Amino acid sequence: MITGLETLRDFSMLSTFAKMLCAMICGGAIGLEREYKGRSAGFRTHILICLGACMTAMTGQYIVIVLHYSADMARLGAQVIAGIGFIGAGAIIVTKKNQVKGLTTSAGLWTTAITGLAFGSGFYEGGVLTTVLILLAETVLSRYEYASHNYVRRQILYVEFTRRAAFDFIMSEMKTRGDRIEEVEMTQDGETKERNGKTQRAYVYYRAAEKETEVETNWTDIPGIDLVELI
Amino acid sequence: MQELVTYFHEFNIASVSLRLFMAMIAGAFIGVERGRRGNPAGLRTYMLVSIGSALTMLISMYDYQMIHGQWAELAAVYDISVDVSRYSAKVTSGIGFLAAGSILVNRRKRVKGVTSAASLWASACMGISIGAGYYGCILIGFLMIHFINVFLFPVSGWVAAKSRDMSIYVEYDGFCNLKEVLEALHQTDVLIFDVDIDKGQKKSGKKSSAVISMRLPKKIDHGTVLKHLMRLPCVQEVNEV
Repeated sequence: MITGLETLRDFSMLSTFAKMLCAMICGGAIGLEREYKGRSAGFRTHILICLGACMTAMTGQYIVIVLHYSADMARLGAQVIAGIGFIGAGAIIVTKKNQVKGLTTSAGLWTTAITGLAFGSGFYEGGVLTTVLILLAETVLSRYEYASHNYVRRQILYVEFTRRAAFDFIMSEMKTRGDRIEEVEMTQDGETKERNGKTQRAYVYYRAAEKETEVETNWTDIPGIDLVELI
Repeated sequence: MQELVTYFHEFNIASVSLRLFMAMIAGAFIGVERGRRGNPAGLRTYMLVSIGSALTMLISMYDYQMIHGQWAELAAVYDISVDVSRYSAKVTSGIGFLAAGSILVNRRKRVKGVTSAASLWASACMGISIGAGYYGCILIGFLMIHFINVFLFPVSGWVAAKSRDMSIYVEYDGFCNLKEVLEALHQTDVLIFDVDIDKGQKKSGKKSSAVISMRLPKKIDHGTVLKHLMRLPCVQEVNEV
């Protein structure tokens, strides 16, 4: 713990302002990066969450330290951790292709709330360090994560088709190529009754024979196949 | 003056009325601004949330008052105690639920309303401070939330416009023309991450569309890309999402 910050850990007007300003700046820094990437939770969302968490933690300490009520100092702040989980859950979506999106943003939002708690409690060191680490993870380490996706050999192929035989043909092609098919998931779309058959969707989970497999472009030309895509 | 300050920090009818009234006013101010931007949660939502969270704090203070006053003997005999923060603690998770319900996903695969949810949640936190009578925090918190909602709004727009990551929604004639769209995009040297295709339905007149997310090269801004796509004859609508 850094000495010399004692006055800023107190409950005067100045320290209250200092805590909230720190929460605003750090929340803003994390939010700015998210906003730049065009995510659903951006600049203002992060500041508001960080500020709210900061106020909650401060109030929790205030009723015990200043007003001398019998209470658990940490209880107010503790519920923030659960509450922001719900808001984050609202920002996660599942796309039509069974991909989950918004998970990293929600996790970041949740961690930002906890940074806010740290500032509200007057634990400036923890708050600042965490903010730096979050920014590091979002800006620098994200590149490594994207790069590592290229080495994943377990892949998912998404196929939309109207003729079952055409889909079976693709499956046999994959087997001759040496891909190990682990699971096939099929859904039928009741609404789109185009052409002669219903449009069916299939997710093929497989282990590719080679490290980088491209979708065979001529697969989409097979009659009965609408769309082939690697997810 | 000092006496007055102490008086309003104590638990009595005057301070209770003051705090509830403050919660109403503060909630109303933030709510009016949000409502004007066309958010589903407006004046009354914010006011109710703010008053409610202030009241939770006051209820537990009342409990504390009772077991140290009227019920003091009982409390001594049965070893009754109360944790003043317990009611209000649940507000933060409860309003988290409420706020999450206002987040929605529209048909262009875009999550909307997270900022509104966050500001509703923040005003609940402010309500708790108001109930506790932490006046310094209330003043600064209220001004900051208002500042964020009013003055930082253009900042987020500016950052989003400068971003190199961009998602667009394109509506075009027929399925085959997606190739043209993608080729046009390739001419501008953008790096395409993801294409989400919706074939549309002829019967109901729903057009084919796609949501394309991409990274722009350094020199190109968002408008250029949109204009470039609008030139294509098959494209009917281009929007940034």
